Amino acid sequence: MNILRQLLRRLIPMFSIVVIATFLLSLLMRLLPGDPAAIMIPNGSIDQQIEIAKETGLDRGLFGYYWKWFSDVFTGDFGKYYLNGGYRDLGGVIADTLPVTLMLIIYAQIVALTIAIPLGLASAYKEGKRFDRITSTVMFTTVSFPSFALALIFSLIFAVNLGWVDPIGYVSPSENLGEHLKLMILPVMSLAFGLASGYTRLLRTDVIATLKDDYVTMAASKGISNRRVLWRHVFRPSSTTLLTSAALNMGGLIGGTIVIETIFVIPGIGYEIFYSIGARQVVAMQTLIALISIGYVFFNTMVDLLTQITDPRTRERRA
Amino acid sequence: MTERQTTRSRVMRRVGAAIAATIAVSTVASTGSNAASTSAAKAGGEIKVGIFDTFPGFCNNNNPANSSLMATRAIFEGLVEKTRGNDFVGLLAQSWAPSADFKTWDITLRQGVTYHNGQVFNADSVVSNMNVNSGRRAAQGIGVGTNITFGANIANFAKVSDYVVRFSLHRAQNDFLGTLYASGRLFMRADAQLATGGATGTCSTTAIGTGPFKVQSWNSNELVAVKNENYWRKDPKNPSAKLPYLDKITFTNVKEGSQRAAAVRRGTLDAGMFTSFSEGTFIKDLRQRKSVVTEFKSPNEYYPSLWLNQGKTGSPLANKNARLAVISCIDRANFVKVRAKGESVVAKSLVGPSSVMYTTRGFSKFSPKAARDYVAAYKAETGATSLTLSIPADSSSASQANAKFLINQWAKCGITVNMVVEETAVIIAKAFNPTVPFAQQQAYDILPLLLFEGTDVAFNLPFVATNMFPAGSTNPVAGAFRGVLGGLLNLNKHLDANVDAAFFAGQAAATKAAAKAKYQEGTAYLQTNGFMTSIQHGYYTLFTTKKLGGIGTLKLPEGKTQRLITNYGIDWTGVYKK
Repeated sequence: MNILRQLLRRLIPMFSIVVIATFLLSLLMRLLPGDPAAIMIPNGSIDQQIEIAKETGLDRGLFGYYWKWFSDVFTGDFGKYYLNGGYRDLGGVIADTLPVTLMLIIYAQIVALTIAIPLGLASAYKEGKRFDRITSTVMFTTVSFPSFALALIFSLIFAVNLGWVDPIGYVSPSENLGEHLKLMILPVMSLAFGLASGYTRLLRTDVIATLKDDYVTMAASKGISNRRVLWRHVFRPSSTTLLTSAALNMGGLIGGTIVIETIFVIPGIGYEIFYSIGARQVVAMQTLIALISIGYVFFNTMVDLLTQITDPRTRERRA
Repeated sequence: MTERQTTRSRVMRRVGAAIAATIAVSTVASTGSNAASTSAAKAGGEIKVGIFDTFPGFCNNNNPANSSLMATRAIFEGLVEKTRGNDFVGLLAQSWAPSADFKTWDITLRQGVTYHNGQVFNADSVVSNMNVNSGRRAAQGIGVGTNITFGANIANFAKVSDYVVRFSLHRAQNDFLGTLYASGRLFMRADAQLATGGATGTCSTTAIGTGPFKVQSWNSNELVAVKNENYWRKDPKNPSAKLPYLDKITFTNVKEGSQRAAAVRRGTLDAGMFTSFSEGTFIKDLRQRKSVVTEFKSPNEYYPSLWLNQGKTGSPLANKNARLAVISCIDRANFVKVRAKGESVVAKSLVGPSSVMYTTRGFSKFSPKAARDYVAAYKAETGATSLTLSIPADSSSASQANAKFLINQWAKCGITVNMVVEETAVIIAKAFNPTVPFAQQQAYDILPLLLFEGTDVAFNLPFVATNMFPAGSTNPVAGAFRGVLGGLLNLNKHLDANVDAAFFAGQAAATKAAAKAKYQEGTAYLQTNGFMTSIQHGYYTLFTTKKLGGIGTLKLPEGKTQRLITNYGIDWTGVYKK
């Protein structure tokens, strides 16, 4: 009940943040130079451009346009890609592409956490020793590589030189799970390596602090094994920052997939955002980018709730 | 590329033997695949092709670019095609008969052709398509775009019989087939596709052509085309076989050139298309891997220009000396070396040697001293204290680096050029703005844009003529479009009737020699008066794995061989998987 109350209490600010974020996005879109309708269909007639402006609310002021867009999205009309003589429904595009991107992000998070948690714990436990120094150096180096650079390096090494995987392409898991996983290796690794570096460093810092807590000393003095102390008594309270960071990265990762999906030709939302930017599909761009901000707010709220489950101290503080 | 090849190509460039190189490349490529095709052609199989453009839709005004046009041409066909000898031959047209004054053209259509939905291709269908292409269905919101300009000389067209259409022209035009060819993009579409237009229509989203492949699915980045089981063409070398040979082609936009190259090397893609203008590094890399890939390279027949805007209010470029200063201060050889990695050729004319417009007369060479003299003359004539201009660049690093390279050169000649960074779509929208008066339609002083191409005039003319709709045009759409679209493509925004006079006279000439002389006169006039210039001429190329055969070997219906590869790639009809 308490959690439900917490959830409801967070829904209002969450909704407000989404409104403010998407409104600011509308403002930015409207500040772009040129007539958006003319830019969307540069070869269209004036009548067609007027028709599109009317349909999208671009013929109204900023607030009128925003209200039209917001109420449409709220009722499930996500907008369209406008062509010179027709359109493609964006709702269908999102339905096709969003699951692909979410899958990519979830894979990347799983891989990143799988690498980061044992490394972070071990580094903290062996603080200042050779293992810690080597891990910190490697992680610091890796985090300084942008994901697109890693993508191209991985592609050159694993796809071109070693020939282990294909450099581009996507197969859905329902079609061929093995091929799906194989094709996702490079994009997932490109996204996960940077994440893992950051997560390892965060966890290491928190674990080092937790290890100095009295209850940890107490647990150790009771004769509980080091492994058990680390996993049971240290990791759980130390994972708050890691969890928050992972959740915040979910929204950010949708943005990160723009480049990765374009490089590896994965038909996800990032690839669509890249296209909509290039084609100056203003309305589609706004909807797709709004998805990132909604995702960001959603996952941030979720992590707040999860934190209260994993760390009762935060629950008590907020009560 | 091997050292020997590099030396050979350098020598060829030095002696200016671009034609020789073109013929050599074409011959090698076609001979190689010819030998394999007759014995090994077999039906079936699916392939993947990597391209570098997105799919904007399928209506006549969607104007797919280069590599996505290649995919579109697998779905649609036009009335005429072009051969390797640069002749026009019939595709959906069987034959034609111009009147003696080249003002009337009777086009006889091929019989036995159907669209993908079963509709018979005939004169009614051509009339229906021309109504859309000429803007006559603008009221229904279909087909209105800059493409209308290309057919502005058509006064009327009408069905003569079930398979004959008569085109009546305003001006005499001996190269009217070039207008019908429209650089490979004037397609015939089924009535069902042309049924509705506007913002909610079907013309852009539904693709129903007569081509060898049908659309199975498509989005902005991918087109899946499957075999048209009722395709009309036959392979003369294999008459019992049903064309096309392939069952399915997936054209995918692989934006990143290095990934496209990697995918071809590994065999993830069966073919990948590249452009010399920005992908020289990947082209060179693939070219070294002869055991893995085969290259099909176009001639250097793509001519990016710097369009100098004379029309903008207060534009310094209205002054001839200012224009000549700008175009005399471009170190083309260095630009090609640094920016194109030597993969394009240094321009010696606005067009290449294979073009009927080609002449080096009046083409300004690199001379900083001459440029500085022109700047001084400009200042003396106008009283201006400086020569300050603008050039747009898109957000890509390549585009901005190109602009910076030129800006640095111009600075050395006393010319200040400011870079305006905007998205490509914005640049295009501002360069071709039909909502403002003629003089304001182009917003930039110097506009780098690839528009000129090929060997003939018909496709290039709308970019230099003052207005493609003749004065007093009786074309029913001229009233609506003459003032808006007639001069929209004239990026120099000039009103110099001498340009029209030269090129239109060429189109009206009785002989090819006389036409060529007039076209060259027109080019020389543009060059001498500094309307525009060109820095480099480039090519497009397709790399395939060794699994593909039959590229460029299928004869056209009348027996000649189609151009091997152009900016819109190859013809996939006769291609098979070995």
